Amino acid sequence: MGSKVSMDELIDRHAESLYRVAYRLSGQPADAEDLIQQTFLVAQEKLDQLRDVETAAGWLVTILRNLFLKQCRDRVKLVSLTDLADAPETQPDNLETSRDDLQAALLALPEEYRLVLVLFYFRELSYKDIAQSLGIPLGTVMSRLARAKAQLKRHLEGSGTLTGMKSGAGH
Amino acid sequence: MTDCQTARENWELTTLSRSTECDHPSDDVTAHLESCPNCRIAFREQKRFDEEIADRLADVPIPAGLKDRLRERLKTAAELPVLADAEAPASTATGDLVVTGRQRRSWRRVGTRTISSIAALLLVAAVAWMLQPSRLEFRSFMQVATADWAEFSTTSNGAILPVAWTSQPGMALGETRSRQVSVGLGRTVMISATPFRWSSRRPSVQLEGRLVQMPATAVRPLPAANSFTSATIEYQGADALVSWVDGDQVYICFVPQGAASIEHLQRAFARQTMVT
Ligand SMILES: [Zn+2]
Repeated sequence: MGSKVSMDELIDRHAESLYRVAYRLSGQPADAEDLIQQTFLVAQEKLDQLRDVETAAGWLVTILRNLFLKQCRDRVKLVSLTDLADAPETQPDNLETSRDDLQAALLALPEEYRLVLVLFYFRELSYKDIAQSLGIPLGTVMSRLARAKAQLKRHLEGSGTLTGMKSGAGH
Repeated sequence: MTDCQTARENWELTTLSRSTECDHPSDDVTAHLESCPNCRIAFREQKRFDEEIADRLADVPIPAGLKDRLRERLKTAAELPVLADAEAPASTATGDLVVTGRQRRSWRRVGTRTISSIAALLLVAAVAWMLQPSRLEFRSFMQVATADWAEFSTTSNGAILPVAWTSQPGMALGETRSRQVSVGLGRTVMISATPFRWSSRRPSVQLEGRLVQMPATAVRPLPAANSFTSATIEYQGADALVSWVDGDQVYICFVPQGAASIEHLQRAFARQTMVT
């Protein structure tokens, strides 16, 4: 029964990196904070499932991933019903997104690709951990990553925001 | 011998250095890179691309007070189950107090009884504390009910919708969202909102709004009406709002831009009640 982990410790160690991941996934500060709040709430409820501090990052990411994907599904269902009610509210958010082309490019990716890409670039998890926390084989991580990167590159080249590099040499 | 395609597939994961594992390309890939100038260039560019993206992605400002807010939220949540539903409180004390030496055995026996009576007392105190009035002003409930949709989180607390609403012809209900609101003394209450769209052919009406609910015990004063159909419509500019109590819940039906047509929905509900 390894060392016991406290929520305080988890927040101290992982809140900021999780927030970055959540922000890149959702594109909005408020959504990101909401997402990690939910993540830590679930973590608090299920803390006894966490056996080892060393695996906490992957464990938290798994929770975050599940919440994020659920949120995406819910949002799709809600879009038609809510567009009337919050039409003015979405305005400032969109402005913020468009200022950040990389974020816009990320948001243009399918959620599953975005997840792999964000976890890959954040370097906090090993590839095995990424595969594990996303619940997919390593091979799938690699193929999604390759496709996601290609799409990202295309998007960024289209918007002319890639600095210091040309597109990958054809072969 | 690794071909270009395989080499490229395999280096996909190795372009960024990681503390957690070896980030060097495998021997096969390294050998291929040494012998293939095209792949060497492509690899270098991929590496540069990955490093740039990694840097830019990591550049996310952390909101001030984030950790404190998280801790606060977890603390409230830990207290919440007791208030929200009569879930079993976390086990308080067992007889296993750490005592030393001779006293140990007798403490075990007496201890268990003493501790369970202390636990019982604590429970009574907790219930008394829970029962003391700390409620949301109805006005604040109304403000939350009519707030921007974005203020509700995407997670539902499993609010149960009234049957009349789920069975009303022409009614389409969206996913319930919820929001926690402080009612003082470090306590919060959950307010749920369900977006709806209602359309009728005769008369031709299309309405969109939301049905908002919270426990009646947590709000005061309570609205006078005890059903949607009997409640008086309040108008706020072009918006319309109806509030009533039903069972242990208080409801607000909020229809932005609904001033002209919300009474059609009330009539439709009244007709439906007569049918059933
Ligand atoms: Zn090659």
